[in-house]
Amino acid sequence: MHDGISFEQLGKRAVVLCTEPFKVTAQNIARMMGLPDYPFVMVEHPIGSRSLPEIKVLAESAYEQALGILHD
Amino acid sequence: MPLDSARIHEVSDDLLAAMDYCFEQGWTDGLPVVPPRVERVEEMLQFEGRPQETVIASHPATGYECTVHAAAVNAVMAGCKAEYFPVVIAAFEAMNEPDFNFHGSTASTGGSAPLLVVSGEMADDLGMNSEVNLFGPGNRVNATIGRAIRLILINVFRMIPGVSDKSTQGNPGKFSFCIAERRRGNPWPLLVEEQDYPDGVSSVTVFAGGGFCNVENHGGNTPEHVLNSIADAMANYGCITLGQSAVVMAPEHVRVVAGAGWSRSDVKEYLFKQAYRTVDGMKSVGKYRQREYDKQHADGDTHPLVEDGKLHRGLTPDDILLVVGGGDAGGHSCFIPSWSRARSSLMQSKPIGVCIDCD
Repeated sequence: MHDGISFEQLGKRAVVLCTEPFKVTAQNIARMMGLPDYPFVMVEHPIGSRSLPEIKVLAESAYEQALGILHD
Repeated sequence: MPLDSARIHEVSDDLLAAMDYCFEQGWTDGLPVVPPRVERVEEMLQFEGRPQETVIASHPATGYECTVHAAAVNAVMAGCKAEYFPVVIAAFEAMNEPDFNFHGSTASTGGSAPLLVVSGEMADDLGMNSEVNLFGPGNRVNATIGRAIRLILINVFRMIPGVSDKSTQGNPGKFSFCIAERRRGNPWPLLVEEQDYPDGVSSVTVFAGGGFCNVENHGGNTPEHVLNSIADAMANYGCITLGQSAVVMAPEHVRVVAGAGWSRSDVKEYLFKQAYRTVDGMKSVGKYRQREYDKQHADGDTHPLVEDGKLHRGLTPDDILLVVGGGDAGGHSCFIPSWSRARSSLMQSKPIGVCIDCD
């Protein structure tokens, strides 16, 4: 979240991806950096132990969410 | 940026009410704290020569800063006596080194806690425990210095459990994790002597400790017996990574090893060589990562003890923090893995109460 917002502050579009258990942490960093409503992509947890086909499904969902954020 | 400028909070002239007030503000680790009365904080500050606004550590992600004053307030709350304060300061200065990565190591699911190892005369001068029940309760110096580190993380750097501290399980060392290196009967040079500080200087080494593994061996009577037990703990499938290791050897084990003429570096080299898993073994538990193997076996940059087909713990024997500690009786040493799957936090040390090569 810190990196994403830092990119935005430098004028570069960015999309932050976050798995569900870290939502509170991401919101906390966004609030601390002065952008409490900064949108980000939510992804199911966990990532590391999933198969490639499962990851592909998650990635496609994340991609759609990211497009929505970037087009706003 | 300091979280808040220092200010006085007024509560009724009642100690229990003041303790409850601290709870209500969220300024605790879950246990009661000593209300930081102004005079106690000022007494603490007498043990630090720099101005109280001096920043001793800053958080790389949030920008929060810890001043000498903020550290003093939290040291009082932890129950430290004023003379312990230089250890707290030196520990945070060590944690502030980029290679320690104190954001990652204190925020991550890995749940590590900064382990402090104090080496040198100051440990005895302060009355620290380096012997029986080393990691347990009963010694104010060890307990409160370690606790001060946690309270600073919570209150100054806002590493709030569940919000910014996302430890999956945490570990008991997150209340306090501070020991002294045992000098009595120690056959090897002290850690501080190997750290090349001037004579008479004591040091604190910080290590992002991800838990505690007891190594029991009462039957072993050769260096190989004892050290193979420790190496096995270091290489267990749950722990093995490229990360660093802390090994605290009990005097009973040290007598076996040093009695056979082994030096501290002999022990570290042996442990490094023996603490490994095979590539096939790592694959059998789904933990094999080619890039980690390649890092350890990189052309021209591989330690001579690294063997093909094996993933050793760490990159070199110097990735093992080895000290003597514990009571006279018992074949119980311990291994403490460092935080993270990789090498994201490397141990750091600082001299205590002195400034070496400072501006």
